[in-house]
Amino acid sequence: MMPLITLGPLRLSSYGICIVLAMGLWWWWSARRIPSTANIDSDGVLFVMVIGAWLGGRAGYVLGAEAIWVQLANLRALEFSWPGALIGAASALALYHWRRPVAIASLLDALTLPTLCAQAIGAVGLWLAGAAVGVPWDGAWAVAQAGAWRHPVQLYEAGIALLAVIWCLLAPRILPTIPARWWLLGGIALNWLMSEGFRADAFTLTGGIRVIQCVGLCLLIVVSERVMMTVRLRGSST
Amino acid sequence: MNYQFHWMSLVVLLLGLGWVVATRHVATPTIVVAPGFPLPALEFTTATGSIVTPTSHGRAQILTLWASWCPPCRAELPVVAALAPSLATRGIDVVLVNQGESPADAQGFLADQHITLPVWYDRNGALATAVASRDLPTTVFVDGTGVVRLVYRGPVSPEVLTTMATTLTMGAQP
Repeated sequence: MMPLITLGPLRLSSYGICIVLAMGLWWWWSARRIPSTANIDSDGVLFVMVIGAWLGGRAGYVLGAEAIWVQLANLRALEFSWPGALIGAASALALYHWRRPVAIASLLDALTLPTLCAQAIGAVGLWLAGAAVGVPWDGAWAVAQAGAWRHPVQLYEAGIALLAVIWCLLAPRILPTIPARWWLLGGIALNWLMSEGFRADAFTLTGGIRVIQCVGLCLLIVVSERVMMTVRLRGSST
Repeated sequence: MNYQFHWMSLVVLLLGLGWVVATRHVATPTIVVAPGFPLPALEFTTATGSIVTPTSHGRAQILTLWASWCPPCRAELPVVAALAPSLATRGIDVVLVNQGESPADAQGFLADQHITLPVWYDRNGALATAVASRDLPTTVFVDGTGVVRLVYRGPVSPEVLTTMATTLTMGAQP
């Protein structure tokens, strides 16, 4: 657990570094994956999405934090909400599309691998910073955090994101008719459903049901339906 | 429209619902104290192993939750230590509550920094749990009646300490 990285006179948040690294990689890789035939102003749309992700990520955290005024004033705390970032980026893309229509399907296909990798890097940053608290557990790979042994929920999130990356690389050979964007949505949904199940500081409904898991399950159903529909349509047409 | 819910989605739904229910998390009931409520009777240990409880005896207390591996804490402690004597003259005791470390680790760092404030050891994170804070450092301001007036997450500045000292001692002024 390393809340800050000290480099000479600089004291940098390890989570903040990972977020910046993740966004930088995401931008660089995405710009190279967007097909030139899609006629998309890649720098323009990616810039807007990064701004949206940043604002959404910060807003998501601050709105979910308990002492909002303290966190707003605490500029050194680079806390960041991944769901907030996704919603922010999607909203920014919708806004951009409204002003300058883009081929969203092609764009999302191109963004699939960079986005899942960015999520994995961000999750590792969460772990380095000791942010996001797992439920208490004293198993083999438990980590000491917030006064107890806990599930390393951040590493679960990174692991599921990387598994989704591997699946995205294999999927074109196994299910070539399914566009990559559905695997992106599926990877995000699976992460929300699975890894958040080990998180102690998630927003819960009555009975301890986590909201984000419910959202993930709904998204997963949508992806499942879409995949099955595509497979069936292709099957009936051949 | 002839829409058919696919069997695979049904499997996903059932498995997903099972997972959501199986992993539901009802937090263990703990005393979470918010500003305006009394600090519960927490127990800490001293370097010699004796048990201490933060009781006010009419004096306000500033409890600084810290760890020596935490760089913001290392930056904050000298600031707190420098103001502690003037705070003491105003009826406010500053106590460093170390989270999760051994007295040897904590005292080694404090000796290097020439900090001589009293230190309590909170091996189980009782204070962090009580004030629902996951951040280090966290500073808990308790007035002379034992009521928490502010839980400040992150490093405190001299201005915050001074302002809160006034707040903590307002009720104690003649």
